[in-house]
Amino acid sequence: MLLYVRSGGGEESGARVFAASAYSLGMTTQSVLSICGFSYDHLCLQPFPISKPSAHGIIPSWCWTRLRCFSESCCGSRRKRKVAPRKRKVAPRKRSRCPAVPAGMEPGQGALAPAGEQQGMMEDGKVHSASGLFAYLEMLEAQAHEAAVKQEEIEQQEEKLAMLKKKVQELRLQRDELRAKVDLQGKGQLGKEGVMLEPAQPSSQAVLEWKIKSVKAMLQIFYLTGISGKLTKRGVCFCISTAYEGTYLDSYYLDLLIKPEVQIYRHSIPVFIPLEQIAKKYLQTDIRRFLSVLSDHLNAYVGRRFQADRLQEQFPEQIEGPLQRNSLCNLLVFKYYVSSKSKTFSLTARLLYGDLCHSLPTEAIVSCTHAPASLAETAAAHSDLFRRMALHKAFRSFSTAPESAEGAA
Amino acid sequence: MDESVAEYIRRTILKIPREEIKTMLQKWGFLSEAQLQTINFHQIKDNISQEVVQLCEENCANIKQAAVLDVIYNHIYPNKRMWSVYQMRKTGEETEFFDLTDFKKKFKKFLRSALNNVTINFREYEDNAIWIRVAWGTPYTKPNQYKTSYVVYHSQTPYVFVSASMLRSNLPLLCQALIFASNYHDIREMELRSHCLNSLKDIVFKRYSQNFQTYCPRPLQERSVAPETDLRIIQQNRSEKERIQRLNQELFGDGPLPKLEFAQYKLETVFKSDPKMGVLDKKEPFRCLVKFSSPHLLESLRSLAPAGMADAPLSPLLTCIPQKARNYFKIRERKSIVPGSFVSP
Repeated sequence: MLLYVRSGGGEESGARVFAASAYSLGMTTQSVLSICGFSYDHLCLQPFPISKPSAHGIIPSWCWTRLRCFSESCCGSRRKRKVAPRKRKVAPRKRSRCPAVPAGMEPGQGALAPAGEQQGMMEDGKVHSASGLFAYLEMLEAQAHEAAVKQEEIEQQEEKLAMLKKKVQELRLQRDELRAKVDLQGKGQLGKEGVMLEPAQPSSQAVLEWKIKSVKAMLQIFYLTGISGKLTKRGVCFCISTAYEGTYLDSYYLDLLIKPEVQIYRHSIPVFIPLEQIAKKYLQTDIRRFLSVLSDHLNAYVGRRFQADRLQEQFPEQIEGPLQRNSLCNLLVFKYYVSSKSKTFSLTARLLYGDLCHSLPTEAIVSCTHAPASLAETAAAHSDLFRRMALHKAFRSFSTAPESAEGAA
Repeated sequence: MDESVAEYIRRTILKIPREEIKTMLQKWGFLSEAQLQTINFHQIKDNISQEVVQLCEENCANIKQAAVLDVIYNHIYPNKRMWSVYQMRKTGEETEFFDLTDFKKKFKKFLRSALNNVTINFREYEDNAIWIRVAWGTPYTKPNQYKTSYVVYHSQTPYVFVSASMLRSNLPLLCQALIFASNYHDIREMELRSHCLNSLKDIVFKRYSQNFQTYCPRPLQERSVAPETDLRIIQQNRSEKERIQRLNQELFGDGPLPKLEFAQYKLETVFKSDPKMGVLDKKEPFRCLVKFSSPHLLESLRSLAPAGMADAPLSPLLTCIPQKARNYFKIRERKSIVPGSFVSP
């Protein structure tokens, strides 16, 4: 263990800066100092490790400890010298002897001169007779210093390596991107080069194709909206496509003439849809309203028809006899079975769709003949269900949940 | 069982082609499966009919049940009768809830109140068609089961398809009953007649493929590309042919056309001759009847121009047949077509 003392000429001069290196031989700084005869009270230990602590915050086994003396009695105020310049002045002078005090040493930097130069002589202070001890300490310190330096070098190298690796990755990424760009351009380049002979034609054809494609897509969108049209020589031809709950159903056409007045030339609308009435009301005045009302009628009709078809298709065992309906599907009468308490009863349902523009019934009468009164509740529940939900869905809901029916009854 | 019923059943069975007898009896449902198994359907029709009559006697068939068999037969073979179309009209605008039982009751009530001796049968089919069979009698005689009238009515439509029977005197009564039962105000006969009932329905319900111009994104029907022609044959009039094809397609569309057997034009126009010739001194309408007949009239009209027998486009008098829903025309001076008047009883 070495202790370096700096003196500014006498004990009373300036701040004394002591730097000592402590090796973990079990000796603490305090003990070192007590050996040297300095009172610990006056000292303020300002430890700063030379090498960075490792990631876990473990201070390495050795560190330089810089001792600073703030005691006035020691330092005196006669010469108000700044510490820093002093250090600088001191450091080169002391280098030969006190290599442990690097000039302007910041915590963490600890390039120390190799141990060989050091001598354990103290210029000032009371040099005790244990020069052998000091020599030993010096040697140890030198070793420590070497090790520290090596360690630091290794770590620096590792750092550098990591940084370089990272850089390599970044560069690789960049290279890939650039390669991709080059490829694309290369293809384009080839394309251009390949047809350099006829420059105008292909590009215009490609443009035309793109235009056609986008126009077709637009027309498809119009078709999907439900009402689409096309100008004809004498007027307009509208196409009303109907759908019910996501299923596209039939399309109906209307050929209108514009002159002398708006009139229907021909159409493919079913004859039971009240086309003449709607036309009389709206065709001359507000064609948009006409189309929208007609579209409502048609959509509702196909919706009702869809529901009745699904009912017949999906629940054939539950329906007793044929389903009585009409062309517009606005009146449905049928008998169906309901099982309650392990007995099946038959109920008669009469669904009236009062509003031709809606696909739900306005009136649903469910009646049961010679059945217990408890079934009346079920009948009422079913009637309500028919009025609220699509027919086949209503059937599904109460055919899969007979327990609730029993609970209600 | 009545002798007449037995005879009627026998005669009905004789009308049916031998292969179809079993299926029709099954559809009739009057004879049980076990009974049907006992019949040998491979013998001559005479014998089959005798066996069926015997079984019906066991089951005590009455005339109404026998009539059902007749309805089934006519439903499967409607083209054996001549159908004409009637159009009904009403002034009210209220939404009608067509109730089948209501309709049947009213129809029967009306007819029975007017005529005691009638046999009325109803049969409903999946396409909302109601088939009505009426056998007419007089106050003193029983209904004649062999001279029946058939009415096919689709609910909530203003059209009725009537197969006239020999006894045309009963037609007004039938029309009245129809109007009464279906809540309409008057009825008139359209100038549209044919043997093919389905085609009449197609024309009137606009179910045939009309050629509408649309941006329909659905794939168009694959027009038959010119078949592999011999390369040695050079088409000189290719553009002309294409023009004819295009015009034809505009007029008739691409799909199958309704089947009509004839188109009749009654001319009441004045003969227009060269003044120098002066064939007819009197300026009287030259009465003339032009009748086009064919097993499939519209199809033949469509193929007239491509075959080179007529100029394209065809005369609108011919091409307007499906759209105007008529095949009997009266052509008068200056006014091209005169529609028939409504008959309000």
